[in-house]
Amino acid sequence: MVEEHSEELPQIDEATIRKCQEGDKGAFHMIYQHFKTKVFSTAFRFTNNYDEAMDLTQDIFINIFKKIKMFEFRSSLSTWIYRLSVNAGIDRVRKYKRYTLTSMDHPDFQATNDFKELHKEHQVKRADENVIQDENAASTHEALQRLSPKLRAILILRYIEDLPYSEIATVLKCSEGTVKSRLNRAHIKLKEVLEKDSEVGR
Amino acid sequence: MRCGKIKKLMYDYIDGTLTESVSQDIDRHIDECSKCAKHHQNITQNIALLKELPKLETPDMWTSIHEKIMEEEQASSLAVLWNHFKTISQPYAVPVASCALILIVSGVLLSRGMLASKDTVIDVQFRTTQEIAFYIREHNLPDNSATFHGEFETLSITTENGV
Repeated sequence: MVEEHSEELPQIDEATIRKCQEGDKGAFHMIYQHFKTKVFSTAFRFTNNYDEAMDLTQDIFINIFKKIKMFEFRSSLSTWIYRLSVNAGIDRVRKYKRYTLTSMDHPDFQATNDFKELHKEHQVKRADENVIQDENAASTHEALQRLSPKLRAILILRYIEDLPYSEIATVLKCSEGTVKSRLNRAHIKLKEVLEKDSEVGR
Repeated sequence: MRCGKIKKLMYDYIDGTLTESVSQDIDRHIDECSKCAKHHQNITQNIALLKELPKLETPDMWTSIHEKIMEEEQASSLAVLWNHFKTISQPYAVPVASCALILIVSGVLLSRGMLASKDTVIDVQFRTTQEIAFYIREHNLPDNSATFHGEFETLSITTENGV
């Protein structure tokens, strides 16, 4: 199991943020320590493997450092960092065109090597876990990859990062109503993809 | 309750944030309505799968993040220096630019004059093309040294450094 660090996390107070806004690297390091797990796990679900996720996470933190001057304490720092992370994730997906809505309609859709590798990586990294759970995780991750980045974002924030609807609304700059209706669409799409996958798999 | 209303309340129902009486109303509706039951089932199944996704080990990325930030800061401090230079030099910009312009123009004019003085223009009158060819061969001139000046018979031959 991954150990829980929550108790050791350095607390980020207003003074730390202000120092970071002045370019203080020590303060930025504290912010990095505090948020790296959240940012990485969010970034990971927008990518296909550890390397890409690391690359994306680094870009996000560099962006945080550059833009933190613009943080005006109107939301929590966490919300603001989630916003930067999700936007970076959506951008990356669009840039690399990782998802294709048509691919799932192709009868010969191939479970790409990336996903198989991901599956393997899970097994390497989590040898203690049982294989069925890893297979489930790989196919869920694979299904997520075939949702549009916006729908993916909402599922990540709600069920992987466990944010409340109100915070998701602030992250995505929309109303809670929009969050819920988009969540509905995401669930319908995810179900479709998963069912298609299990048909292809058999 | 109608299906539309159920759909609206579905997430609060799943999260368990509704009052007991509303929640029980939805229970009853779902027992009877297969469409809503299916919808509810799909969502809960999806949630179960997403919640099952393993927590990931976070690799340490601080070293490379820190390096990149330092690199960018260096680059931007050069930019700051350049901007600083631009602001200080602003009052002198017009005189400096005009001096530079004068220098360039006079340089060009001077060098042109010097080049021109090295060239010799020989104006020779010819009657036929054979005569031109003969003249070129005779004087060991490069083939492209003859240029037309208006009419066929009048040609000027320009050579560098004189012949």
